[in-house]
Amino acid sequence: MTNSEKILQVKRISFSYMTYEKSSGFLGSLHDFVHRRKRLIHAIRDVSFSINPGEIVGLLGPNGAGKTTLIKIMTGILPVSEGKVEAFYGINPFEKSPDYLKRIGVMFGQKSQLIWDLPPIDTLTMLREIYQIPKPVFEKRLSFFTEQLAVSKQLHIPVRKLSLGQRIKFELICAIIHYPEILFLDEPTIGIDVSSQANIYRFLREINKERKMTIILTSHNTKDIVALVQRVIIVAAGEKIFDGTPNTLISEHASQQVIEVTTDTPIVPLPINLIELGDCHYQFRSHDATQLPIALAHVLSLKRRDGDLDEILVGLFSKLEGKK
Amino acid sequence: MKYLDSFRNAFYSTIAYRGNFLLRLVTIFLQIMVAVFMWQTVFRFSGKGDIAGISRVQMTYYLIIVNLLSLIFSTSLIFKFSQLVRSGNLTILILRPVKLLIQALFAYVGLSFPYLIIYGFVLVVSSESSSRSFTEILMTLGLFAIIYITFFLLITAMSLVSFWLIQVWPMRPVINALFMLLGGQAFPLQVLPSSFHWLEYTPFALAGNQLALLSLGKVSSVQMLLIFLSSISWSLVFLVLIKGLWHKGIHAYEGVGS
Repeated sequence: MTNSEKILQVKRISFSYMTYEKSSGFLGSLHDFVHRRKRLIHAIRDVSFSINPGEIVGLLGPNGAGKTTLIKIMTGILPVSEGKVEAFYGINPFEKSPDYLKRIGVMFGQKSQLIWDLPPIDTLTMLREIYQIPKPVFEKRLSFFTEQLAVSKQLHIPVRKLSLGQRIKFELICAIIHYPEILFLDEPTIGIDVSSQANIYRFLREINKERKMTIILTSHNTKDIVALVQRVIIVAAGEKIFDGTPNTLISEHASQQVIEVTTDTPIVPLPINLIELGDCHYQFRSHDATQLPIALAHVLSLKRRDGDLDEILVGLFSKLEGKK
Repeated sequence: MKYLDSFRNAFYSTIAYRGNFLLRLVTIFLQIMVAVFMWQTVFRFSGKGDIAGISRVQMTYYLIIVNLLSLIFSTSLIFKFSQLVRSGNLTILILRPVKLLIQALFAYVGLSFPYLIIYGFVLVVSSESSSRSFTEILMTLGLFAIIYITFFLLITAMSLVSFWLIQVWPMRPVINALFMLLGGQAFPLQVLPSSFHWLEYTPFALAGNQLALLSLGKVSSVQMLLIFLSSISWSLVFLVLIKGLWHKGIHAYEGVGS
């Protein structure tokens, strides 16, 4: 695929912002009142990638890695300090042109576009007018979405009376009611139960398949990634450290098997590379085996298995923490 | 029209909490009572039939109208916008393909719509005591619309400081005091010495004092022209201010949290 066919191109972007450090105590507070200590944070450093139409891409990374900042840059909320972002073959998202905004959908798991005191139907009707969706088309879509996500009965109930899961589902409907070409999802399943999660995954897969909708999502929930994405981009400390399929990630980083061990007495003190799973039940990576203080005489059982995505990410992120 | 839904939703939100809505009306009723009784006492002890050209009955209507105007010319937009910036929910709004200023104006009208209806009712009742031509009534309504937009622009410009000020609530008593003093909520500005008459053309005075007098038919044609010109001038100043503040603010906006 040539560059001109990429729906979104992120070219060597960096983003920095200024923050303040606050001193503690009375004197510290007085000092801060007169003179604040500024600190420059490099949230994104020289990141490049491009997204193909119809792709589902997962942005992964530990807390504070820069995933949300990347989403904010791609949607146009934040400007880049260096580099360039181009969507739909030449549009700069930060200009927030109506042409760009009509073609994207955004859902932030911790932010709401639903009007708190009114039923979801009122927000959705407003969005129908904003995106100029013909009434019959809107009604057909709404009926399809609410049925698929099992929230038809909640359409006329004030938002404040809905459960978190129901609200998240309506947030998702708000984000896709105009069938955007790119859908940005930031933590779309935060705080919702497994059955609702499964419902959302199925729905998103279907929408992606039918409409060729490009989906870019961030999540701490590896289930979201496994269930949905075709490609994973991992960011840590503002840098891109991996870009490929989930299978490549697993095959590259799951070379180390995981060993679960049960002992008859607790291991005290607990070494850093040993994870406690339960009472006298531990887990470690096979290459750490020789460094661990586990006497064979105390071992009740041993089990070896391949690492899953969660473990790979835990290992990867702790390595990066160590490097810091 | 895509902005009409913003008006409609804001209106629905205002009346969604019936208790709060009624409580607000009761509060304003008590404020009116306090002001009316105070001025009745002033009239009684002064022994005069009018003060600064305003009769006792007109003063009562003035106080009712000016206090109702304080409901219509709400400053809540400042605090709502501040909340949007603090929570990062502004992110959702700026990513919609709409002109935010126009959408905010429609929402602002929607929020004050129930009070506009009450104001219209009082206006009809009070106009029976004054003899005004149809043209004068039309001019009054036209000026009302212009001043309404001026005040909205003032509040919008003030709200944009939220991009830099994390807490804007200390502004609330200042704004209330400004409306009380400059808006003529407690007394008509005309009772002040003539050296203070320039205050009558400040945005708060236009929204409170002048509109109340306009509603009572106590404003001459020359004053109407002055009100019109000052309102247009203020609007232009606020529009330039809004443009500059928005441009700088949106670069400073971090869209707090995820």
